[in-house]
Amino acid sequence: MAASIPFRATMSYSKLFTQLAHLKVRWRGFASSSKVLCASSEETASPSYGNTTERDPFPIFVDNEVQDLLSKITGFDILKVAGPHKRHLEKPKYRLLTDAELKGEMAAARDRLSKRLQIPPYMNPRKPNVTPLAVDPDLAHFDTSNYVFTDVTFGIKDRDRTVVVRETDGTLRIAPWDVRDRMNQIYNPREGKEYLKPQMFDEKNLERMIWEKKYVYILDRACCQFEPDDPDFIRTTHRVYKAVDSAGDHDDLRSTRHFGSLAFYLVWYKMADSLLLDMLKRDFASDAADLVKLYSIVHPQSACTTSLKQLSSDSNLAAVVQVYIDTTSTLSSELQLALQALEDAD
Amino acid sequence: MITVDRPRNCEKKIGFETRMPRIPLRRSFDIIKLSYHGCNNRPFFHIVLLKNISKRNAPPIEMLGTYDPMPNMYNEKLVSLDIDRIKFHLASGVALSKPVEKLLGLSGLLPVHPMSFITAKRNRQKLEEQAKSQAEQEEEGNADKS
Repeated sequence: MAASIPFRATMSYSKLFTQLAHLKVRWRGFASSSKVLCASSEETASPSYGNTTERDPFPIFVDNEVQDLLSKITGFDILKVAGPHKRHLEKPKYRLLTDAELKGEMAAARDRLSKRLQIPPYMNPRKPNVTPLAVDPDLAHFDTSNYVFTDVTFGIKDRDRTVVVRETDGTLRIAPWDVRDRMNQIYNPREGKEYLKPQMFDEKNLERMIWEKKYVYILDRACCQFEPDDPDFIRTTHRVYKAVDSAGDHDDLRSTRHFGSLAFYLVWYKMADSLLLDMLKRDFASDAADLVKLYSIVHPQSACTTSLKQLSSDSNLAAVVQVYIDTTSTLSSELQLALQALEDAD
Repeated sequence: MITVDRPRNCEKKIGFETRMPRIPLRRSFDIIKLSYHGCNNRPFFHIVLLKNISKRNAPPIEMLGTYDPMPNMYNEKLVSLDIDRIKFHLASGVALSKPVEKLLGLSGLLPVHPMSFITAKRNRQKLEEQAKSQAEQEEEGNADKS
């Protein structure tokens, strides 16, 4: 009996409470140290990256102005957003509405559909946590397998969840990202996400699917499967964006949630010329001007930005695009022709 | 402490004062322990809050986590803990069973249980002995060949 209740039997309350206080400090220390770890790893890892990834794109991406521009150029083709898709057979419902009611219904439907166009965040890949929380050589070989401890406190979010691993050599460390993702899927399963990474994201199969031009399918599936700062997500999406850009299939992604990410990616790596050409050819002059504005926000030091500032605020869209063609474009002759054609048509 | 139960109306009828001493009731308190929810050859435990006198798989007062003692394909044993509630119950002076104490010790929530250190030491010794005997066998084999 005494063996099964060690705290009552062997420990006085005061001792227990001192231990608990110590414990609280430990867990607080744990949380803060994990933050410190992230910060320090970012500092150390950044110089090894190239010039463009040195900056963190996320704060620029979530800026309100940038989000507005991105959602504007995404467009809203209702047939594409709410287009035919598989669903269970249901009887249609008929209702008699006044004109005002119909207008309200349409507006509500539009609101509902616009949520489908939420752009997935554009982030740098996450860094691994390498510093252990506790090293205990006396505990080595306590078991033949690792123990993974997951916090399942009510109401905790997947991104804030604490997951720690006690390894067989006795060290306690914050779980690696892949373990964390698996634990999240086990204890908080999400629809559309698989426990094991689907084979379609392997290099070979991905290339085949890109060749078949299943861009939207790949991107949708990647959004379900990965976190936005997962290196796999970034690798997959960037590969698809590159393929879309080189094949000139920008229109496939228009009016889907991925168009904003595509545009941001192309602008971030200064490859937006063919997208701009596509916009001009399809008579999206305002989109083209928005793209140039986006370029000037993302690259504030560029020549394009300085000459854009000299333009008067009421200058027309063509002038804005013209500035981009003059300063930064690599396809300037073709862009010039397309712009000319657009102006002649007006 | 032995309490003698004397029903008053019986006393007069039977006519003698002393009766058989009763066994006192067990002291009842809350305890966090494991309850078995697997099936044959597939153990799986819930970490639950129960009265110490209730049955192992009695409906728990509160469920505080799970423990899967069979390693998965990545050689991991999975434990989930409702940290907030466990801390609350610890603060209100709940008892812990030994396996739960060990798990919480490994998780870093409590200090590591002394028994974990002892098993670790024994395992290490066993491994050393195995390695030693293996080396001896190999040496003998080499000697036979030469």
